[in-house]
Amino acid sequence: MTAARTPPRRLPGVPRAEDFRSPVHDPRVVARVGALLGGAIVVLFVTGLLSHLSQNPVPWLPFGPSPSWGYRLSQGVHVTVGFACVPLLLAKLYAAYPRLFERPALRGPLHALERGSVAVLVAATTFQIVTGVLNVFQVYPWKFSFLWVHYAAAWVVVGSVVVHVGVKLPVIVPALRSSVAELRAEESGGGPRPPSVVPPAVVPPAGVAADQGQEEDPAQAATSRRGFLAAVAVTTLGVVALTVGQTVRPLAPFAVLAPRDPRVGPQGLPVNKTARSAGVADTATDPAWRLVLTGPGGTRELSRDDLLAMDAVTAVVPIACVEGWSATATWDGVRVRDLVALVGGTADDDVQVDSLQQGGSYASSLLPGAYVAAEDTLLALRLAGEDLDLDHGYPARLVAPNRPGVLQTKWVARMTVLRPGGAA
Amino acid sequence: MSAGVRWSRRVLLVGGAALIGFGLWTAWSTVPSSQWPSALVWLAGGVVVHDAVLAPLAVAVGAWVLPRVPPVWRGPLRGGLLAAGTLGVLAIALVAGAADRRNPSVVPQDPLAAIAAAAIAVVIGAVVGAFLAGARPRGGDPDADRATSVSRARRSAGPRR
Ligand code: HEM
Repeated sequence: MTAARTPPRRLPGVPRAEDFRSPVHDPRVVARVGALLGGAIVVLFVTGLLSHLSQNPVPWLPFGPSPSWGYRLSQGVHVTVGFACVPLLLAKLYAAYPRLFERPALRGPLHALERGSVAVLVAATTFQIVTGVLNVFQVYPWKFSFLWVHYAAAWVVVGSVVVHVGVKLPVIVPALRSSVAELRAEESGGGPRPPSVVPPAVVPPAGVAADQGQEEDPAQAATSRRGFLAAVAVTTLGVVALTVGQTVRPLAPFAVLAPRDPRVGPQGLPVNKTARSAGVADTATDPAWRLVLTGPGGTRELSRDDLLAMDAVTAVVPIACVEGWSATATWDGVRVRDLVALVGGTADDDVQVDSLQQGGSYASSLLPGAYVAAEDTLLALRLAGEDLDLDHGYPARLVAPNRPGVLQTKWVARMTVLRPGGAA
Repeated sequence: MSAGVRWSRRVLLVGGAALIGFGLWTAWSTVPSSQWPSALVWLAGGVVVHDAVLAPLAVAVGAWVLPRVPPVWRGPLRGGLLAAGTLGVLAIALVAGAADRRNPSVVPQDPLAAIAAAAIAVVIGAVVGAFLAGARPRGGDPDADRATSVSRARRSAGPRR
């Protein structure tokens, strides 16, 4: 303790990599935190691509109505793992940051390239996580389209992680092979000894030491490494515990840090876009509203009463928002395939669904035939046993299993049967 | 470096560069150029905040704070600061989201109460961590074997307290 209280002899100006002697900066710790963050990023990339492909379909990966919880699960995982990345990123930056103070700063062109790749990695990953978190809280303090930039940045993030693993492979392999409990990395791994594992004797004991006076004895060092990894794990699980309730209803009471509560909203269901912000508050409540159905057999107009008089079906289908929250709800309405049949369509046809909303990315959606055929794909008129709330899409909205919420078009005005070849 | 590592490295470097290239091409072809300045500011902002705020803070904590606390408290304090930093990021999002709610179902909870509850969880976590750390072999004990058996006894006694 007395040594720790001795004032540093050298003034702590800009420290050097060797000054960081805390065992937390040991490559075995950095590599393990990196493996966790890297694993999380792979999960984010895969679930993100699923979200992208379900909104921008490709022929080789057609999405269908089952499993009904598919998108709910994948996007719920995306956003939950996204939250979990906050502590993982902070821990990774903290564990690795002594490398920032490396001297000489540049040892040649290859080293410059290596450091440049780390700069891209840190910039892109931090960007993706920070803007992702703000976005799900509906905070947009920037002037770009989140969706496009997030999609492009996703490839840069994953690519820079892959490059980084390639660059560091000779350090990573021995670091992950040797146990954190072993006393010295260089005794077990056989790899090159990274600069942050400087044996205490080499560093002048009363030098600056960016984290000085700590854990100089090996047993204590092993405890510190394990303790840090445990703290990372506990914090990460803690973030998950306090947010995942926006998707997993039984955990909703614990979701204090989540942007949504799946139980809160009109009719017990959260809302993303309100009728007012979509500019449909008047048109949607106009008694003259008619659903315009168009198909190979002609056009029909149906009032809400006409629709209510048709065969009513009840379906339990989740709303799964692209922002990660989701909630199961009970809908009553008319099967889309029954509506399509009224105008000469079949359950194999694709259907274009247009909202009263004018403009905006989600004013219309394409419902592929596989969904049209499904029993649970409804033009919903009622929610939880009551007429749809205006903000949930009154007078009628689309509800289909396994679709992102943004494609569950609200305030439906028109449904058009599309035949292969483009003819309506 | 073994041949396996050498080859994996090449594959990773080339593959990673290709992925980055695809991302840049995607950005180039889909993001309108009027949006680039804002996106670039946010990209650079993360690095600047890290290098100008987070790293110096971490250096300061390591140089001045950690050496002044008893050894059993250093780990829990470091872990607690990690959790506090995480909470800080989420707290900014919560408060900003609640301040500019687009509708009442966005951030329906009281953000300050939510942050306070999470902060209490962080403090409890750090205290529990210190308790667990105290039950481990201490550094500097001349008789390591004895320390281990004592701490084992202490650890097994722990949960009953
Ligand atoms: C760090 C690595 C991440 C990667 C590689 C990643 C990747 C992706 C990809 C590829 C998409 C699909 C975009 C599209 O549909 O075109 C996506 C969507 C999304 N991501 Fe991420 N993401 C990451 C982090 C995060 C984080 C931290 C959050 C928030 C906590 C987040 C929230 C979202 C949201 C809300 C969407 C849906 C956007 C929309 O459809 O409007 N992401 N992500």
